[in-house]
Amino acid sequence: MKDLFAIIKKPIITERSTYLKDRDNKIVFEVNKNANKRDIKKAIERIFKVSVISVNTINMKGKVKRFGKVFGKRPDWKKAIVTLKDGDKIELLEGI
Amino acid sequence: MEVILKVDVSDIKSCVKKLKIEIPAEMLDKEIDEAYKRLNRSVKIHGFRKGKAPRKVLEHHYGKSVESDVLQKIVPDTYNRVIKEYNIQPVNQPYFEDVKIEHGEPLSFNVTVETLPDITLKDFSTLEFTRTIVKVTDEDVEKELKRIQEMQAEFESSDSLPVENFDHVIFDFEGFSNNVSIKKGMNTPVFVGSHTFLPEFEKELIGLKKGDIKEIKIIYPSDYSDKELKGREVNFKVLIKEIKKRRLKPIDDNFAKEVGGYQNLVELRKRIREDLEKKEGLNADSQLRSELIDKLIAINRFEVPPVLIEKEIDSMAQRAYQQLASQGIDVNKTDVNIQEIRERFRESAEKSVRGEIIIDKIVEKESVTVSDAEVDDEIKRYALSIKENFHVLKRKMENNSSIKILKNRILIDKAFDAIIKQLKISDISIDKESEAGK
Repeated sequence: MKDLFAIIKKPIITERSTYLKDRDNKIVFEVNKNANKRDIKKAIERIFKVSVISVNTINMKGKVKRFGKVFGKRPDWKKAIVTLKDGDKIELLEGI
Repeated sequence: MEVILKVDVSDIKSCVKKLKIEIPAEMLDKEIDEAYKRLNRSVKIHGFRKGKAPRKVLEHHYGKSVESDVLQKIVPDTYNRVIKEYNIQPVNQPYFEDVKIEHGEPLSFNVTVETLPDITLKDFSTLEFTRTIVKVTDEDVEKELKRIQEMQAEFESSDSLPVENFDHVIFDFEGFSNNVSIKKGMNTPVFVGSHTFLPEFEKELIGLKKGDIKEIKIIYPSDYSDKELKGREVNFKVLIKEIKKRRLKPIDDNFAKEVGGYQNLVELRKRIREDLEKKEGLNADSQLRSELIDKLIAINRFEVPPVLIEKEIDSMAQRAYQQLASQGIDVNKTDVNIQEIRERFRESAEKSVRGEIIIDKIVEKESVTVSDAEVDDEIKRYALSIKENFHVLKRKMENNSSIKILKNRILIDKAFDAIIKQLKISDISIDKESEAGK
């Protein structure tokens, strides 16, 4: 996995994620489904110049949505909860 | 929380003020905080429940617009507060400039605004005035009596008598110029001698009888208002259809009764004299008033906000246009230089603005007030004179806000009455001739 930005897709900003950030300095991202914890750790450290303590990942099932009679499924995706070293922060997300 | 504003008022001119206003950072922050709180209550941001989004997220989504909303509110609000506190009476829209907003810094801005000049009226109690009242003579009374007689005249159709001056004639006509019909009219009424038509034309009608046909040759004067007809020779063919002879009622006791229920002629004459004297008195008063204003303008020099003069010129020009329009002249279609006309109004506009400012000052100084009852009385009187129901009239006036104008007028009248009492006024009576000689 060479392309760092192919691994990290986008940060997830929700009530819960801001809560985690404030309490545990944990940042939540949507990541490539095929990325493993080590890829993610490396990518985050490289992109944001921070030290990562641990990465937890969850495979998220895409929601089943219905439009009239037609059923559809949103793609599955992977969520990564990244714990940063105390005092490190990702500037880009600070204003958010 | 009462926040102390830093305000610096400087006079650029006596009627142009520059305000430098500084809003402390805490006050601004508080306002912005509140704005975010209000915003949070009403918006839903993806990933957050309504009202649960943190300030930072909101800032990211709405930052600029919240700030400019706050600015748009806080700047005029503060301005209004300041002008109230410093008792500034603006006459135009304020001009805001140099609005600076930075985080943690006080918000500062400059306002330039034209104001009413702050004047103190010079003492006018030493001014001397003469009120010139024109004496009412017996001749005037007779003239007025005659006018009433003419107004009361009756008209009687006559088939045999010829047309005389003051008769009411109904006729058909057709005008030819070079044998081409250019003007035509059926059943046209005219009071002979009223100069509704060209006097030469009316004169030619005299002596005709009902059913008569006459050709009248008219050469229109070269300064005639109608361009088409100016200086042209037109042959009119006229058919007299009806003649109504004027019959004047004799002036006697009976006449007095008919006119207004007076006992006899003596009483009618007395009443006419009283009315005329009252009219002359009012004339004298209004003359005195304009003299007073002229003098006050002369002794109280102050600067007038240019905006007010422009506004006054605007309304004067507007009135002039309307008057012309009612005569069927469209200003836009003529080659009049509007700018030039406006300049011509300037002097009198300035005078009337000065007068108004002074009158306002007098009203303030004499602390006169007008009660609703007084306004009602005035409306009642007016209603009576135009034979309208008081309540109907009042509602009408309330709707077109002329009631405010009326109230203002009464106010000014009262103020004038109050100061006229303080003036040295000597009454003199003069004859009409000597007035005409002046």
